[in-house]
Order: sequence, then C-alpha cells, then structure tokens
Amino acid sequence: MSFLVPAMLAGLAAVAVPVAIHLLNKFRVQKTDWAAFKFLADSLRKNERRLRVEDAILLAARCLLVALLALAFAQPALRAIVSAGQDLTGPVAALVLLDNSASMAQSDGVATRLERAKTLARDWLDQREVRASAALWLVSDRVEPLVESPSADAALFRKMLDGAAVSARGSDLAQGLRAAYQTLAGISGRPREIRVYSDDQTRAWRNLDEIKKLAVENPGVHLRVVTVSAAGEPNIGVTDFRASGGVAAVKSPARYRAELANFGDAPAPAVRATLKLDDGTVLDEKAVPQIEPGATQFVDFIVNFFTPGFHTLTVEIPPDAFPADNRRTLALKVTARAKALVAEGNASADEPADRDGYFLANALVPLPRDQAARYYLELVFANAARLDPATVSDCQAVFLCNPPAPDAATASVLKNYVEAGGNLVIFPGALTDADKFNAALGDLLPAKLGAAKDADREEKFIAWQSGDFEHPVTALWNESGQGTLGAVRVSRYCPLTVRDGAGVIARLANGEPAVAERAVGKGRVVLFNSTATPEWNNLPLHPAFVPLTQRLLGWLGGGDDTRLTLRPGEPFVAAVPDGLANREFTVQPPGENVARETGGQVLADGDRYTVRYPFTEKTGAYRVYVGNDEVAVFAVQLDPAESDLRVVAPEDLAQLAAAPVAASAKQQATLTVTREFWFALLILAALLAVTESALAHWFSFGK
Amino acid sequence: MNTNLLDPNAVASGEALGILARKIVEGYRVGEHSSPFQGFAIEFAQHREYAPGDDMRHLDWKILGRTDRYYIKQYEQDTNFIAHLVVDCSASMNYGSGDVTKLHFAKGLAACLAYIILSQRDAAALALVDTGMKEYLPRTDSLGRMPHILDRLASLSAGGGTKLGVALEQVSRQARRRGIVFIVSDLFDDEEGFANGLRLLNYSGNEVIVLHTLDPFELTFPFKGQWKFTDLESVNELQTSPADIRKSYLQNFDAFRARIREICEKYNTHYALADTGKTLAEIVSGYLAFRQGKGRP
Repeated sequence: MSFLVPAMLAGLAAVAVPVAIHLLNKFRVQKTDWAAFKFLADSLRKNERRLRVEDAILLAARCLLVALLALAFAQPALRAIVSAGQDLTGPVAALVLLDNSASMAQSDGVATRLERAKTLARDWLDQREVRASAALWLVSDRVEPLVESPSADAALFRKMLDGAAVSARGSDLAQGLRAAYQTLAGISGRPREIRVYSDDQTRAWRNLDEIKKLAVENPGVHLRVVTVSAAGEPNIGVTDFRASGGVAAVKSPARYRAELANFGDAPAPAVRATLKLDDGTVLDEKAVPQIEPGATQFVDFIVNFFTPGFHTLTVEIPPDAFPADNRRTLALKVTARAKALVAEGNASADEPADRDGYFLANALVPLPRDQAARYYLELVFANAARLDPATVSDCQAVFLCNPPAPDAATASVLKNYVEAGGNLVIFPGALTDADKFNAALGDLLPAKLGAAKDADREEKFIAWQSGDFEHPVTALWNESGQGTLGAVRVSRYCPLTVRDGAGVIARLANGEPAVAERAVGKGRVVLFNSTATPEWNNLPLHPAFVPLTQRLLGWLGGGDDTRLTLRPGEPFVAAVPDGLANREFTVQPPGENVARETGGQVLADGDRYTVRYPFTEKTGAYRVYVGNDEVAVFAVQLDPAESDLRVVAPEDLAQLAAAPVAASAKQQATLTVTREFWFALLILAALLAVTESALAHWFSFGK
Repeated sequence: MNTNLLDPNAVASGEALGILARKIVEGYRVGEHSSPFQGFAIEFAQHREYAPGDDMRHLDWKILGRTDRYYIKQYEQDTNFIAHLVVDCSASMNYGSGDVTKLHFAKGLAACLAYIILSQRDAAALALVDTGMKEYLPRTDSLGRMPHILDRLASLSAGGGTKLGVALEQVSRQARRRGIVFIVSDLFDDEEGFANGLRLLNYSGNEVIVLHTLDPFELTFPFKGQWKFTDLESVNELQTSPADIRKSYLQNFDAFRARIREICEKYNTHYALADTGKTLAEIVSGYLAFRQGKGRP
C-alpha cells in the first residue's frame, strides 16, 4: 500500500481538530445556580456512564472521519512490481493492433491474412470478459485508430473490425506499438494488454530491438502477438519499375527496367513480364527463364512513344497468391519536342571539331545531320560568356562547355534558370578560372571547383572507376555487358570538393569525384571535373559517351516523372496552366470502370497554380482532369518491401514475449498502481458523516 | 407601605372571587364562614329536646303549644377564618431563570392572598419558614395591618436549608383554631417530613393548600451547551451537557411532582402549581376560580 499524493497525509494532523473542539467545549462552560440540584445530580449519576460512552463514540467517529478524508486525499493505492508476464485481476484493457499493410492481402486460397486476423480478433472478443474493454488500431507504415482508446462497446469494436481493409502501405509495427504503450500508460489498476494481429512479416518486425526495448520498459503491459502466416509462402513480385535511360519523348527510344523478385523458397521458372501502355495495350512481353529463391532479375523494355502527353506504363507478371505486387505502374510525361542549349567558351574555332561543344552536341543528337531535324531534341548554341534569360528559359538543359567565369548578369540568369527547374551541366576547361567560377556560381555548384591540374606525371592520366556505381545515371555500367567506364582516362582535371548534400555520379580511380550533382531549387546542377572535348580526357571518344549523355539527359528530364510516381498515401501535387486557376478538378482513381471523383480546386501555390490530391491509398494510375481535359497523370506504387513475405524467426518473437520477464524483470520492472482506494474512502467518510450526525442527534434528543 | 409586592391585577381578581373556606373553620367572630359552633344566630340548624340549663330564649314555643313538648331551636353560626400563610424562604427559593426569583414570586403571592383575606374581613397570619419557623406574624383581621405584613415580606431574604416537616409542625402548633393554611414553597425538601407536616395540619382540622412554586426552567430544563450548576443550598457543583440528560431530568422532576401530588391527595390537601413564568394574576385567579368551583363541602 502506498499513497499517490503522500503530502496529503499531513492532513492526518487534522485528527486533533475534533479532539481540540471537544476539549474546548468542555472548557467553554456557562454557569448558573440551581435549586433542583438533587434531580440533576440523580440524572447525571444515572447517565454518567452512558454519556461517557456516547462522547467517546462521537469523538472517535469525528476523528475517524477526518482521518478518512485525509487518507482519501492522499489517494492510497496498491502498487505491485509488475512485469509483462504477470497477470492482474479485473477486466482487461486491451489495445488491438491489426496489421493492414499490403502484405496482409496474401491469400491462402480461402481467406487473406487480414481476414484470418479479423476472425481471430473476433474470436478473442467473443471470449473476453463482459467488463473488458478494447481499442482497435490499424497499423501499416502509419497508425489509424478505429476505436481510439479501450472501450467496453463491443458492438463498435466489431463494426470497426468488420470494416477494416488492406491498404497498399508498408509495415512498421514499432510505431504502432510505441503509440499503444503510450496510450495504455494512462490506464492503471487493470490488466493491460496489447494484441498484435500481424503476418509476422520480417519487414513489419524490422525494428524488433526497439519493440523488445518497449516491452521491457513497459512490464505492466502484456504484449501478445497473434500471427496469421506460415513460413515459406511463395511470392513473385514486381518490386521496381522505373525509367533507366533515355528521354520520354516522341519517337525517341527510352529504356524502362522492371525488377522481378522471387521471395519464395523454390526457384520460379519462366516468369513472364508484360508491358502495357495506358489503357492496356500490350507493348512488349519478356520472359525470365528462372528466378532463384531470394534473387531478383531485371527486365528491360525499350519503348518508343508516338504521342506526346501523359502516359502510363504497367508491367505485369502472372497472378499469384499475393496480387498486390503482380503489377506496377509508372506515370510519365512524353514530350514532343525539347530544346537544349550548348554554351561554349570558345565558339569560334575554325574546325567544328575544335569547338568546345562539338562532341557533346553530337552525343545529344546522335543522328546524321539530315535526320537531326526529326529528332525530338533541338540544340541551340550560345556563347558561354554571356547568356540572357530568353535564351535559356525554354531549354530542358543548359550545357556549359569550357565556360569562363560568368559575369554577374549571366550568373543571375543561370541561378534563376536552375531554381525554376532548369538543369545545368558544366564541363570546365582551359578558359575556366576555378576561383572566379566558384565566386560567381559557388552557391549553385555541387562541388567546389579546384584549379586545373595534370594527372599523375608518370602515368599521364587517371582512369574513371570501373564499377560499383551508385548513381542511377551510371548504374548501368555495373553490368559487365554494358562495357566499362574504367576506360575513360583523364589527363587534366579540376579537382572537385563535393559539398554536403551533393551526389557523385562517377569517381576517378583514385576516389576523387569525377562528376558531381546537386539539386538546387526545382532544378539540378551537374559538374564534371574535366572537359567535354578530348583535350583533357578521352570521354568524348569513349563508346559510353553517347549513352552516358543520353542517360544524363534522361535522368535530368525525368525529374518530373519521378514526381509522377508516388508511395501510397503520398499527396500528389502538380503545376497546371494558370488559365485553370480556381477550376474544379476531378480524379479517376485506379481500377476498371471507376468513375471520376471530385478532387478539389486548382489553387495558387506561390507563383504557380497546382492541383493537390491526397487520397492516394490505392496502387495504380490516377488521371486528373479539369473539365474533360487531362491535366496530369500519376501512379502510386506499392512499397516493394511488402512483396517480401518472409516471416520473422519464431524464436525472435518468442524472445519478445519473454524479454520483459527473463531479461530484466527485476531491473526494469516498475511499480504500477493496481488498485486505488480514494473513492471507497470518500464513500466511507460520507457514510461515517451521516452516521455521526444521526448518532449525535440520537444522543442529544433520544435520552 | 411597601406595595411593590401587591399585583393590582391579582388582587382585583382575587377580591372578586374571594376566598371561602372549604372546611368548617373556627373563627373568633361572626363572619362569612361556617363555624363548628352551633349557636343561636340566624341560620336554623335543628331542634333538640330541652335540657335543664338551656336558655329559655331558644325554646320553640310553637311546638310546645301544639305538642306540649319542650324543644330548643338550634342555629348554625357563621364565623371568620384564620389563614396561615407559610412562605418558604430557604435558599432554593432564590432561583429564578428570569427577573423574578421563586422567593420574590412567593412573596407577591403571599401578599396578594393576605390582602384578599384581610379585605374580606378574615384573619391572616404569616409564617416564614426554612429549616424551622423563622418568623411568625400573629393573626390579624385588620386591613390596617397590611403594611406591616408587606414590609415584613419585603425585608425577607432567602438562605439556609429546608426542613418543611419541622416548620409545618411548628405552624400547626400556632394554628390552634381550625383555619386555612397556604404553603408557598418549591418543596425541595425531605418529602417524608413534608408529608408529616401536612398530616399534622390536616389532623388539626386545617384546610391546607400547597402552592408549589417552581421556575419554568426547572419544569422544562431548556439548557444547551455545557453548563456548570451550583446547588443553592450547598456548595455542590456539577458540570454537564444538559441536553444529554434532559429527558432523564424531566422524568425525575415529574416523578417528584407526582409524589407531591400523591401526598397532597392523601392528606386532603389542595395542590396547585405556581409557575413563576406566569403572572400572579393568572395564578391567583386560576386557583381561586378552581376553588370556587369546588364549593363548600
């Protein structure tokens, strides 16, 4: 027994008050002479004993009343050293965490994991005590309370449980458990329990150490894990689908890569991947001979678009027990024409090949000159020393080749261009004064440009790294069949000191950055450490120069496309023409024959107008309309980790259950209030007060 | 003359009602009250045969003429009465919850009775008693002696204990002629002694009237809180919460009054409560009206 507000025990001193009043009354005596003394004396003699007893009873009752009040305000409570495995008495307060991540859609042919989990939760609800209470939360990579806190309303619980559905989200039980422990911490005096209904997917329990720690820190809360999956359930899924090269432009081949993974225990033979365009038109179909257990296979598709605008590409594999990852959709915007600016430091060379942008221009438009006009990309040339806003404003990318340090006006033009969404690629050269260049464009550059220097004098050059590329632009050359960038040799270069937050596309063999990139505003800046001509390196002559340039251009142009592919629940935001300001927009969600629904209103967002649509829980393609005009398309893709249906080792979950008791029961066990008595004491005090009043009245007038 | 003791209302109502002796009294002159002595006055009583020595003036000549027998005519004699006013002046009479103590009330009551008695030409004697007969004013039938009685009553102060038995025995010796004895007292005394005193007075042929003088607080005991009571006739004290013992006290006190009434009935004595919370007029007129209703025995 202990007291929650022990300071109130000082109130016990008030027990002296009734005694003091009693004594005070004894001393506060009025006097009178009395003639009929003998009758008074007789009465007193007869009643003396009774009066003493009555006085003692009343005094004791009053003292007890004060003591009870003091004790009640001190809030006496029974505390117990409670560990997670210890049962308390009384109706349980339970918080049910129901995993509704995408993996819960896995079906055994009869019911999905979620349906089995709901059945088990319903069975538990039927068996629990009448006075027990339960809360219901859906947990994926977010927590969605359906019954916020433990409630005795079983009907509400059942209704919410019945309505629970699988989401397309990933799983993270740790965050749900963290919130659940916090909620149950506010409940005392009853057994508390967290019941997790999950598929014990490895992904869901990836923060197992944190969960164990939570269990240890909350020994008074039972953690019961009810699993609904069986180890070894096969699954083959499309875990990734993205552009991997080229630009999504009309009549321009672009490469798209799908990643197929086998999460089962057996090899998956002859996996067929089908690529579909927009409304289901099959563009291509490829078969992967076999995917080993736990392995992934890439399938590349080359796509030529014939119409500009928004398109979706969907890759599908044959159906299996987990349909959610059997298809993956990509949204992209196909451009009809694009323009790139090649700004040269020396644009007046006698021979075209001596121009600073000659090799780059050919790589950007890799067609004979007579066919170049039909190519989607139009090249514009300019002097790098002086650029004006009109020249750069409508270019998809600006390439600075051997640029001198720009003057203030040109630097301002470039900054505004990049921050507004433009892409700037810089190849330094002999005309580039590193210090002045840093001074003029330092806040744009992904790296500080060092003074040009020669490569090792003995070797005469430094090669690029030959593998282990991490950047999407160069990741292609991790595959041996694509050749190697290790043959790119640099004889002179400007050392790059990469800034925080910048990425490295490629490095020299000595580890120094060869190409760095950084997002600035809505645009991106790429900085090479050497020239775009064979003057300082052999990159322009290397077979990889064209694909590297194309991949770089595609990656730079794909920034918009990456914004068209979202995770479930991620809000979609896209700029639309100003003329649509304040118009209502509608959205057609994924699915066949799904009607458009109201999406909202085109509203101003800074200096542009945007559509914003937050209801992106389903996977697939969403089409956004203003009136009947399609203004945007975007796709929502399943969290690829949800395809991995492998389960956490049972012994790990067993450890979780045992952890609070075995590991640190004595150290971590906490004193928990198991029962409070203040209310009972108040009731007792009230009864005593009534009794005291009745007794006082009876004693005074009854005799 | 100390007239403070005389309540005009009480005297007026008392005079109107008058005091008639309920028993035959032995007066010493002709009055309004029946005398035990049959003489030759106005009211014919009976005939008896003549005996030698009888006064020939009372011979009934008509009977002699008709029957030749000698009969003497006898008549009832009316006389005055002598009222003894016994006033208790023990210390217990000094209690009064209001402005009036029991003693003061008893003095007023005695004064009014004395005035009424003297004004109807009867005689009054005053006996002031505590443990014995403290003072005795012999009988007088002269209203002119009233100031003397009042002065004596006014100068009376209470003190000492109470022995009514002794006092009433002494009064009975003084009241040799049969008359009326008014006892004005709270009777807080030995009940046996009081009964003995009544017995003596009753056997002496006196009509005894007890005017039991009590304070309203003694009758109702309305005290609240803690009180210390000091006995007026001793040094005893006691402290109590009166509310706790009120019922018991009232039971005791009512039992005492019941015993007193029993004693009074036993000795053919009128008992009347003289509540000092009421006015003298109420007490006097109330009692005399009751007495008149009873009539002469």
